[in-house]
Amino acid sequence: MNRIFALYTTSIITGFCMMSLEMLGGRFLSPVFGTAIDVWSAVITVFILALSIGYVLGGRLADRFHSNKALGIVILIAGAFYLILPAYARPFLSLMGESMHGNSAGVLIAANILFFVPSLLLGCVSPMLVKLVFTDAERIGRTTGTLYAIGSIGNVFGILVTTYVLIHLFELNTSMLGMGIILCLTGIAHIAKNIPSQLATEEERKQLEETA
Amino acid sequence: MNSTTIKAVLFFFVALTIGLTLQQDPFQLKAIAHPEDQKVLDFRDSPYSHISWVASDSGNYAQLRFFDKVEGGVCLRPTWAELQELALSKPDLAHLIPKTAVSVPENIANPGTLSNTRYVCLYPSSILLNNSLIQRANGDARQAPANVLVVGLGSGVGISVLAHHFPEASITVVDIDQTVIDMVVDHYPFIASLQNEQTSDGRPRLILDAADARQYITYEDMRRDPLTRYDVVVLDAYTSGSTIPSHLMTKEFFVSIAAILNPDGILMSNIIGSYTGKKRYVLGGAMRSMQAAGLDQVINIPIMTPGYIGSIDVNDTRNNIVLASKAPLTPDRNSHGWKRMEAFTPWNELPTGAYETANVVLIQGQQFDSSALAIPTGPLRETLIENAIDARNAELSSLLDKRTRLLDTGDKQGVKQLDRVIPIMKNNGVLSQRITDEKTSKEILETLKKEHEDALNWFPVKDRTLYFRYTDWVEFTRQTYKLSLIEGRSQARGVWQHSADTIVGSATATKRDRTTIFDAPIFTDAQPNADILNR
Repeated sequence: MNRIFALYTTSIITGFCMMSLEMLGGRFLSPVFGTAIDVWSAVITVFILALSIGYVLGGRLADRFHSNKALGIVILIAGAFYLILPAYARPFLSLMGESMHGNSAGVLIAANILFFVPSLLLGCVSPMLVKLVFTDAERIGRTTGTLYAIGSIGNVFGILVTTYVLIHLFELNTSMLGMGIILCLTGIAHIAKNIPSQLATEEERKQLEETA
Repeated sequence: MNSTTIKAVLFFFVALTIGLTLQQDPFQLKAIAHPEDQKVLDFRDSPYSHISWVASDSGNYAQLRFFDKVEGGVCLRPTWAELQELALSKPDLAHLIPKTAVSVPENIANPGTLSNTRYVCLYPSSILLNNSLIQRANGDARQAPANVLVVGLGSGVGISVLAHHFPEASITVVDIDQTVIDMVVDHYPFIASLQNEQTSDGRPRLILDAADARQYITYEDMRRDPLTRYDVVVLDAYTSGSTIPSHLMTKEFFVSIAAILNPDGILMSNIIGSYTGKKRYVLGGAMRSMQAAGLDQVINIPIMTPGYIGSIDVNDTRNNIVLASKAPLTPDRNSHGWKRMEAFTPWNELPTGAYETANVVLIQGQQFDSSALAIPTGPLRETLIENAIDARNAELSSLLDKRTRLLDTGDKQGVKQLDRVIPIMKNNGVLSQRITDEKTSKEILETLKKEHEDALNWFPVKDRTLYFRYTDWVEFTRQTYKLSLIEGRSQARGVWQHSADTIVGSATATKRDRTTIFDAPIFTDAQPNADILNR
């Protein structure tokens, strides 16, 4: 039960942070590119694109590793991007704004450079979690369904809490740093506490226990 | 704890340290050529924007900003308190003294009504052009009992301009963002006090309402019985990044505005754009959409900058005051209105030479290279102003010589060009001069060293020169108004250069290929793209 609880919590946290970054992403871009439909188009494009690539990469990582360590590293790096985004976003956007002024591709490029990597990393999380929550083949539909549902609830909270709470209480940078810390701690927890996949072979499990 | 975990924790702390130490301030206060004494008075976040008040004594402004874009600014001096003092000896300003006593907190800047934003200097034109409204005031334009609806509050400076010049006007402001209204009420006591004031016939002088303008007009104004009729509707709604919300720039919206306007009523919009290049679509599109909505008399007054000769190029992106009505607006068909506009002097009661700023910036090549530092009042400042006036007069007389030569050679085009340049060089409230004299530069920097810590970084000044800027704000606003009207009235080959008929073609025209913006779209609810077309 504890193991499932940890994995579901991870799903909620990453889902929350993902959508929160998407909402805050618009706020990062607005000073330079405005708030018109093309800005939201760029933000949504980047996140969906990053997710689709993240799913592929995450799936491959899941097949390759049989414990949650890889998952922890992915989340940790994503968290690091959240932490350093406040440092590079504004200088980069000022540069972009000047060179790309009046170019409709500018906002798309800027959104990609700022948000692609962190959202791609968070996109990797879902398939990796699927592998870890798997217990038996008969219940695979139920477990993955529940996992996706919980991740999406995280998304919903990410959107609503950001819109109605975070932007009113905190500056952009503070929200980013806060989420970065939470993501990093989640990643570190996964790295520190071993959760082997039920799909690992007897031999692999032994190996995992030894390294732990 | 194994080694991987320790590495992970270390990695986390490195990233956290980078984020905490290198994170960038959300305000771009220290931007080059901005005054060094700029400070943030207050900031708040809203669902729409990040809103801040930024002020500078040496720039004489308090600006409201959305993110780091300036939405509008008012001069810090004369303060409202100074204006009230002035009003004791000038009965024309008596309406600036509140009837209901107001206590202004000490930590508030308390700006007055003088504009630091150029386009709002043209706001009086919307009232002065309205013949039946002025008739109702028995010909005294300043007593016009106008009903005004303003869409988009911004810093509130536009409201100040109207309230300063037209004490009998009743103004309703609709702004979608309650936080903007709160910020203005909290930091602009003059605007806040207007809410408790009445015109002589008992109408409120100011109502501030947080609502979407389109919803407000459809569900409030148009449902009132009897129907609310306005003499002026001001459209100045911008999101950050100089985009106009697309639903406030459609034919259907203008139809509903036409429904709440009096027969002589005027829709006045502030539209950023140019006549050629990418920025032409929204300006041209706005004019055509207004025509299509039945407000078929449309003229533009391009906003001119005193002192910057380059700005008379009508192809530059600039603020434009677009006026639309069912009644005629061009100088030939509304000559009374134009006479009233040209006889009108904004901030007529204020003394010139009292509210000025003088500062220097380092420049390298053609680029500004530092923040602007204020030059304190004293003999140095006087000398610099005198020198700058001398330099300008020398340039002016050389231009006059050139004009005489061109007249002799019969170069009509050249003379015409000079005739537009010369008036804006005369007393325009702005002086700017590159200081090439080494002795003067040194003297300035020595003086500044005592006043500003920043100036210490300017030593030694290698390959760079100082640039002196001086502005008399009363003169500046008056000249902005005057020069913009001169440009707005300009005529070539018998047509008004800035009437919609010339720019986008008349409302009934079928062929538009001879017009300036021949490919201007009509914005409709089905295709409302004013927000993205200015990219």
